[in-house]
Amino acid sequence: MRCIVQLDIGPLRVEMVSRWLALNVALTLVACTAAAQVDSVRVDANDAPLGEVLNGFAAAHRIDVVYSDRQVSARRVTCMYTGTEVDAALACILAGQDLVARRIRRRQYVLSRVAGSDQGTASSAMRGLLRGIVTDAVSGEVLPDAHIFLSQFAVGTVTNEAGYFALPSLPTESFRLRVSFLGYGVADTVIAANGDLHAISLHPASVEAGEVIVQSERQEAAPVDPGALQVPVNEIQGLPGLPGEADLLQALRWLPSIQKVGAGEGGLIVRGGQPDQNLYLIDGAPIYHAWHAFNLLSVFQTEAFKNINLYQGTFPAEHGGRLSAVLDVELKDGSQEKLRALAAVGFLSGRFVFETPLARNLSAMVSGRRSFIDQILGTVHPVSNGAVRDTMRTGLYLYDLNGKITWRPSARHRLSLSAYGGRDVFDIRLPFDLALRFRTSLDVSSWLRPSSLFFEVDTRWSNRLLSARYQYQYRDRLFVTATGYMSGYSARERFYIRPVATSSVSSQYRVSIQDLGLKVDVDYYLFLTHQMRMGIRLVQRDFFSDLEALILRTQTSSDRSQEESRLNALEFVAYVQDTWQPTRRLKAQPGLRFSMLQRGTGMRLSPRLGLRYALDDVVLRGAFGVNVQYMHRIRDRYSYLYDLVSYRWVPASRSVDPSSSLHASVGAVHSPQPSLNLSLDTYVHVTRGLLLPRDEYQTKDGLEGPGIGLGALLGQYTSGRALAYGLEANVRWERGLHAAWISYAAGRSRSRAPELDEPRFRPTRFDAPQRLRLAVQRETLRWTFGLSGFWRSGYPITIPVARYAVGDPLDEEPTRFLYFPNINNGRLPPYLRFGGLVAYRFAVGQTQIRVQGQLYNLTLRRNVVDRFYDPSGVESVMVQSRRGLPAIPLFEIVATY
Amino acid sequence: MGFRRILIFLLFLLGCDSVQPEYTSWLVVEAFVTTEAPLPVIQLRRTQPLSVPYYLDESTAATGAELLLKLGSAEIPYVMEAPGLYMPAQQAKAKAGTPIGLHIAWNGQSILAESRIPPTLGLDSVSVARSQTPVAGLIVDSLFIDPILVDSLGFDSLRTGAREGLVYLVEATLHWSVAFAEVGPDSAWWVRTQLLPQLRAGGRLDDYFLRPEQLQRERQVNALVPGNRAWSGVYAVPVATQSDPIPVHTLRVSVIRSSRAYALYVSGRTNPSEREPPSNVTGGLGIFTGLAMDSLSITVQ
Repeated sequence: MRCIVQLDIGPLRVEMVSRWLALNVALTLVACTAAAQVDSVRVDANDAPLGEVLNGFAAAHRIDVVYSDRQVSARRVTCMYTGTEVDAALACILAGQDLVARRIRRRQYVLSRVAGSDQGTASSAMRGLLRGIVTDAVSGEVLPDAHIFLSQFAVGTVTNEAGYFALPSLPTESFRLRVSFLGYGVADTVIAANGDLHAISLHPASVEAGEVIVQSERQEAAPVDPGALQVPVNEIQGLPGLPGEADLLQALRWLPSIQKVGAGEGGLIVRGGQPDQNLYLIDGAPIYHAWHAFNLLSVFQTEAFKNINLYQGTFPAEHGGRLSAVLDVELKDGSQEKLRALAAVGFLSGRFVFETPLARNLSAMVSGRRSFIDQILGTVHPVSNGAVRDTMRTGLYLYDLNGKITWRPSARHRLSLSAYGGRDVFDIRLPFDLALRFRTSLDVSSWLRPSSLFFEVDTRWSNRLLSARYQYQYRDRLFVTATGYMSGYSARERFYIRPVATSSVSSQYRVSIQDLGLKVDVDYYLFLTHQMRMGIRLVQRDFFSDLEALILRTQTSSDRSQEESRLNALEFVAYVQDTWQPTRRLKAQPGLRFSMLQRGTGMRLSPRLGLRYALDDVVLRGAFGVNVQYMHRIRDRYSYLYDLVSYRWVPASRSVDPSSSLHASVGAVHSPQPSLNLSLDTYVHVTRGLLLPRDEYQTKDGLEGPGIGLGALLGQYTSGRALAYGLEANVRWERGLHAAWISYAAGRSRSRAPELDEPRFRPTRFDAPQRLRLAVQRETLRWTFGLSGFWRSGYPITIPVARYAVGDPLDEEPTRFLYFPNINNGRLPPYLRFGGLVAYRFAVGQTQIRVQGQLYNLTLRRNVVDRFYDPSGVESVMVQSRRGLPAIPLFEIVATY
Repeated sequence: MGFRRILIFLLFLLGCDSVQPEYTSWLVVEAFVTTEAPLPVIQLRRTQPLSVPYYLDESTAATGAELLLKLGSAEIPYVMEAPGLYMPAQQAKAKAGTPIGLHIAWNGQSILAESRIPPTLGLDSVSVARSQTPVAGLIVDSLFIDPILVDSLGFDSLRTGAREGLVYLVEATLHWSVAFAEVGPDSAWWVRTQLLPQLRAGGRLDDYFLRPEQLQRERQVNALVPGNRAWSGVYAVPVATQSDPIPVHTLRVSVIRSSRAYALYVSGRTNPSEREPPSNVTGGLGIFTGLAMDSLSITVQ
């Protein structure tokens, strides 16, 4: 059998792509190889034991016949067959017995009893259905994406969002099931395929209990979904690092595929993509701005979630709309058993999680987080200087609030309502000559004084989300999930600056995006080896921004700006995907996604494919997918009056193509022993329709700009292409009290704007060819000691290559300039940082308390994070380096009831 | 063993940088051909490595170049009069609307540039108004905190270095006529207007919030009456005490009409440490453009 892999990458014929593909073709072929055709089938048995005949037949023809000893014991058969049909040969072997061999998939048969022999049929014997719901044994919470493995047939499945699974087309017998879920103990159980709904509970693993914890990437648990990774957040969030408290996106940095970069415009970069190419979902609804405090914290409070799935590079067909990654998290339903509570205070914020049953089949969860710096500094400061009084403000805070209520009126119905709200406020009014006082005292009042010259900044941004989900088990093999949601991001930048008593600049700029969406997903458990999922999505998006600004120079000289921009877009998506297990070793998930934006961008088809091939101790995996993103996140690059901290999402249109990408990856997971888990993946990611700055050197340097209109904004960008490729390795070792984690990534990320006549691809802003993370940990019943290190190549920097002087008719003498012929033509020095952690646990009554201290940047290394060149002097060009953070002590106290 | 070799090769491939900055010498052109004026002196310099001093003398002058200026259909050779300074071999005047070109052969390189002579421009009048008394004003070198700096959380990141002083605000309005026959209401020309007071000290922030200079498309400049354009700028004059009169000083007001290439060149001169001004010189750096200009110096008191 030949397996042809054909990739259409359009006009972007990059040599690296073909080179990468050549390296991976061998691995891909392994997954596509089928066994040789059976040429002739021969059986010659004369009053021989049935078990022996079946074994010999299976071995001779390389097929798998599944049966129990009880079925074949004390049976003898006589059969003479010569031909080409395996089915006919098996029928010959079983002739006269009350047994039938049923083919459940290619080269695999199962023996089942023919009920009533004279009235039953083979198909009736295969109508057994094994189904159930997997829950947390402590809280009663359903567990999505738990792995169900039927070892007898080497068939597995995963639970859906309601924790439901079904394995149809089985003999009506009892089977041994292995059920596992990340962070939980494994459950082995025997249940009957009689169509009843079985409840299976998993116990959360704990260090105290010494249980076996399911690690990510364990062979039998390695998901087939393209790009999928179940995140072991409980493990990695305890590793040392900023901000020293539970935060999901900060924890994800420990995965080799992920970079957390920079303040302001930064975010998460997955496999060389861009921060705006990641989709963040809470209970199926998108969050547009996932960061607080200029990217120091994310909006994801880890303890509030029960299931965290990350899809890297390519996604199952049900997900889309972004090019790099999808982070899909589920809020906890709330404990159905008893009250549970968590309270914590850390370096930046305090937080809580509260779960409780409200009534029979009704539970709730509420969680929240708030920073407290404003409570220490104060927010409003009346100040006076003799007769002059003023009010200064230092209002800086952020908060998150999550809530979910879940109602299960019956086993077939489940309804949940989720809400999230979060906000950042940066509200300050300060005199201009603040600095001298600022450095001499920690008493805020002493920094301040009434002043006729001051600046006020009131910037706030927020996310709001409301999601309702209804899950309905329509038939035993048909499950419907409908989700309706509203989600929005809004930001307001307001400032008032008075640099001269009679002059001022005032501005108010607002930007928002609002989604109203509906999703319907249908799970259909077609056969034992086919599980279909299909669905539709309909999203109405409204984009808004407006600006009111007044620049008052003198009584007679002023400029006023008043602009408003409104856009909307309707996006429709339909998809279908099949999780298919054609052989014992091979599992595939092909899918097709159709999408369309009602702004003249045409229809797009996105094929997806996930493959998993299990060898004896290695699992090979591959993924391929085409992604389409109908929105671009851009910002004005000229004016200080708008887009200072906020971003604008703009929809694709006839004049601005959507971005699209092609992603392919191949990898392997290997567990040579239970305590050791190794994984290695390679990928290539090609992007088209990327918006790149038309003038990379342009920085905000003026009050007035081209305006907030879409045309003025898009005029600052040009269409570009990007190419990323790399290799990721992960090693996880755990034995007794000790654990170690090593993640290494090597890769390149480059972009090119053909319209700007760029001759070749250049490194993107955060291209880091090599990254290495290392963590070791010792954890006893009471103490945890951790040490971590992070090393990466320096980020690209644009280095001047020469200096020159040139004049202007209005200048008295020429000005000296630096010549930067190539963007990102050099690199900063490598970055290296270590961190240390000590934690102590103890109990007070029923409350578990964990006290944790960290030291960020343990070795006090001041990494170079930027470099500046000053050409103004006559002598050689001055080079100045900006250094990274010094050592920072961090603390956290967590109490769990 | 083969797998190891492939792995090592992959790591090498992924880890290496193919671009290394290296020094090459480029020619820098500075040539402004003014409407209805004699052909200009053309200044040629060359770039220097970062590690050596850059003096504005013969050490950075580009010598031995062959220059040919095209003025319409005429070709006018230039000759070097002093290191880096090239004079036209014959005199001529640039007429409005004439296409111009420059060809330079230097150091084995061929450098080309093109432009066009804009219509003439003359200031009709200038009016000046000032505040009667000084007002409080900010005297600083810089204000805005670079968002990247916040990342460092260094306490000195918020230091603005600002101080409060007293300033007189001076507003000057420039008027000039527009010959529609030559420029048209949809002029593609750009104008640069500037107020340049001859003062001992000023405040950059004042300049930033006020407006001593502006660059814009001419068709977007305020038109008081058809055929006329007016622009107002404001600058600050610091004084020590409330009772101090405004210092008597000279104010130079200027207006330039030129090409888009010149507009890009001017707007790219604001941050010499991060970028060079965009050049319209193929094979070199600098600027070659036609421009029309008028300037007046007045005394403010």
